[in-house]
Amino acid sequence: MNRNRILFWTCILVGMICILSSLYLQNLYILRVAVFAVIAAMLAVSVNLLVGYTGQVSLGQAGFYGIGAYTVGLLTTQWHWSFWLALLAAFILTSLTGLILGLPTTQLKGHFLGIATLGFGIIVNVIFNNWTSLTGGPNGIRGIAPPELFGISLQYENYFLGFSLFCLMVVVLMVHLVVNSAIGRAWKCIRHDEISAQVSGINVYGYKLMAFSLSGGIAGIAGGLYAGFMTFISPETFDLNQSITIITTAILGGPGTLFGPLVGAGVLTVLSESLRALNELRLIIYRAILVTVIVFLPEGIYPFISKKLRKRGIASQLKLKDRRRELDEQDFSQS
Amino acid sequence: MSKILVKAEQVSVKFGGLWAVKKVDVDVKAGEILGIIGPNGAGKSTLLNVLTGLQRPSAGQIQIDNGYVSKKDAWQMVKMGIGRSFQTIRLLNELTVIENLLIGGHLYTKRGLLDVLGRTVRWRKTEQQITNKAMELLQLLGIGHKAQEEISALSLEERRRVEIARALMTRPKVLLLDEPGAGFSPQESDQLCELILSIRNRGISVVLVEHNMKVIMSLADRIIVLDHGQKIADGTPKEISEDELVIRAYLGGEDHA
Repeated sequence: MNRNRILFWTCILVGMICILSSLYLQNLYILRVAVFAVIAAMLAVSVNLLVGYTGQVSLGQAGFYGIGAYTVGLLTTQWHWSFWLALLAAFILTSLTGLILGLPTTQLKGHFLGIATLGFGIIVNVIFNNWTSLTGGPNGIRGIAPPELFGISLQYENYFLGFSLFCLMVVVLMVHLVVNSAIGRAWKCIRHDEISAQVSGINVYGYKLMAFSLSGGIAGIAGGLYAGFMTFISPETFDLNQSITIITTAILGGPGTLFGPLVGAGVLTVLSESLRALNELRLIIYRAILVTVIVFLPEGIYPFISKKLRKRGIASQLKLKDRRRELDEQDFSQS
Repeated sequence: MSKILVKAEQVSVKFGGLWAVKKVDVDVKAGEILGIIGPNGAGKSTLLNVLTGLQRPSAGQIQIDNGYVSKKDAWQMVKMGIGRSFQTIRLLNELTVIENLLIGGHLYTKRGLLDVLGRTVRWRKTEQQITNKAMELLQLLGIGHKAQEEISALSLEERRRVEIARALMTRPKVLLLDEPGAGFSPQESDQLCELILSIRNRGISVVLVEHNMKVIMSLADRIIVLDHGQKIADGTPKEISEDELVIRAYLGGEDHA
């Protein structure tokens, strides 16, 4: 128990250090990439609730992402809401969308659920493109005001990075709390065996809906952040490719773990940025690396690393125990 | 006459053109051990599925505590006090024994988002309570030392015990066990009998589907015999063992016995 608590506060501390150090970053390119990585991480965290913890496929995550972004974009430009209210509205609206999408689709399983969520993502994208009077069609929405916090404009990349890291930290903390409770246990049970869940008194349908709703809400916040950062949004950001990237990030990092999605987002960002110089070839190499990783680390990068570390940790602890026992025995013989 | 906890009236289940269960009446009284026997394919498991809400009856009614529940889902039946185990063990193999039991304690935890996110005092209290309850049950079932082991590291017999423990975590009034002794040695069967009796002594009614005649004849207060989905006999073990229809169903012959 105690060890968990130490680990918990260490993570919080590391998070704080990351947020503070982001304020000192100077390189504009790195700053922008880092903000996108944080948004990608948040999206991966959102899909991880479904794919990782509850075992439900979602190939339409970009739909929630887009609805979040467009909510913030429209409310701030057309109706002149403050960014913060708009972000809250984006969260609520995408949670509701998740709930409504979940109502029919949670009855489906496996491939069928995949196709249904895929359809959702495409429908949302089509609406962005064609409801021109509201969304501006393919031209998107321009001139979204960057948020302000206590009089400081977050249009400076440093501040925005710090702010988005803070949001990510809060989201991860919330996911941690939810997952380590009866809700998380219920999700885990649903992922492994729904009938077991039923006879344990778990309302399978209800908990799936909850996962959809929370997942949608988190993706919606990511969308709001994206809109606030870019100040310009258009439909092609929220297409099927985006959905695939989101789910890939989560699966690559380690689905069903707290930090897997973060690791996945970090690795994928570094990978795609470092391959940028290779032009068209990079897409091929990028996908080839993805395939390789999935084949050799099917459980994901983070579980692989943490297992290695834990093994080493246990080994050193055992050594420590032996050493203590020796010392105790010495004490005993001396007295 | 003791109180009737579960009452199924004229329950039928039809799969395509086949009546898996046809017009069966069952009532489970408080504190009794009710045996259900019958040849393979007689509809025993289907009947259990109906009684636990995993299978909707095609016709007929089920009452629990005098309320009709035929339209309820399995998890709601659990809430009303129906717990069960499965013939093929259904545990989460990658999780530890204690984690499996905590899942069974689901209904007795605080699980609202506010409680969970705020880690409120009552949340802590209920989590502690179900953990204690789980440990207590494991001790009672003699597998307390296995609490931190993964299910995949346990023997068949231990897994059956864990599954019964998980069902007990839901605090059932009626516990339905589907062939809990399948694949057991005679010694293990004897231990199982003791276990079932101790569960009954805690005031929980037990519905027992079992192939092992020795087990069922020694434990059951009353036995229902199914054949081809229909109830062909209902009575004390002694009555059942002398019933002509039962003997015919089991031995297959005409006036053989």
